[in-house]
Amino acid sequence: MTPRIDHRHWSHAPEPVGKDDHGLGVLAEDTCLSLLGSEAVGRLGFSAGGLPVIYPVNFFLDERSVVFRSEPGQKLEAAAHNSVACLEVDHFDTMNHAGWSVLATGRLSIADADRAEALARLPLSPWALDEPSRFIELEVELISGRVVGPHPRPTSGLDTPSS
Amino acid sequence: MVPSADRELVTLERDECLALLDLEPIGRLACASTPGEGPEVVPVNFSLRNGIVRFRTGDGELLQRVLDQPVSLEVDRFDWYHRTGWSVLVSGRATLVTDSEERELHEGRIQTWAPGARPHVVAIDVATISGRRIELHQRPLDGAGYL
Repeated sequence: MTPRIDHRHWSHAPEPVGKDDHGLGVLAEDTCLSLLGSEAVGRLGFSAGGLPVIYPVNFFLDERSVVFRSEPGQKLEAAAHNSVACLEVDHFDTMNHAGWSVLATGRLSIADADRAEALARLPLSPWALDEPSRFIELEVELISGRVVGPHPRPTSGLDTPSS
Repeated sequence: MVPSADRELVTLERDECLALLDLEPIGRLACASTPGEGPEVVPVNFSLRNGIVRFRTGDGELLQRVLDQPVSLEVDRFDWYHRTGWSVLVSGRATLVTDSEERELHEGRIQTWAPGARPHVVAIDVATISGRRIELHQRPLDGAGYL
């Protein structure tokens, strides 16, 4: 089995490829996509009635499409209007004041019946859904990420993942 | 994995939301879409005092984007094993703290993890606050030994 890198473990923090104007580490696009794909919960940001909102969603990354399900409400309405939205994923290490975050931006859409049938085969199982839900997709057009904090400390070997 | 039938989405009271908000050192700040730009979500260190959320920022784009605009800040925690968690969202208008004494006081209270100078303090006067939690209803054990 291929070893899976757990980016939630700080000793496996993603490596930056450079620094931005503020001194934050810049993550390469493929690193960002890999981090996005390694997470199951992200925060969807979009405008609802002109006001910015953020709601956590369980998602699965299928190629460059963020797939999630939603009950009737603000998210479904934004998807019905093909609104621009972003999905943020991050991980922070409170002890080391370190962490990374990735932001993916694109347009929302509601999957049609054929697409929904295909998406139903994805390993996506929402944590909590009460009402009938629809599949929504966010096609990633832009993706960027930043990393802050110290470089990983040398590990003692005790906290090295076995896989 | 606990089946989803055993969980329920519960709406949190304002007091619970504020208590949870107060626990977190990092929130995610959302700026609205503008004609030229999409919505943006960025993590920030923040503080909460007397119902006002404050965060620090530098001279960059973020300051220009949020000033005197409606913004939201989200905090959450998730339990990957039990597949539960909570999230809180506060919304309000972002204003620059201009009083130098107040600015210095809050600058000292908000420790930022990111490098670079962050001389500006921005206040979000919390207009609305809402939160939800996934509650897990554990079934009583039936006495059978599954291990």
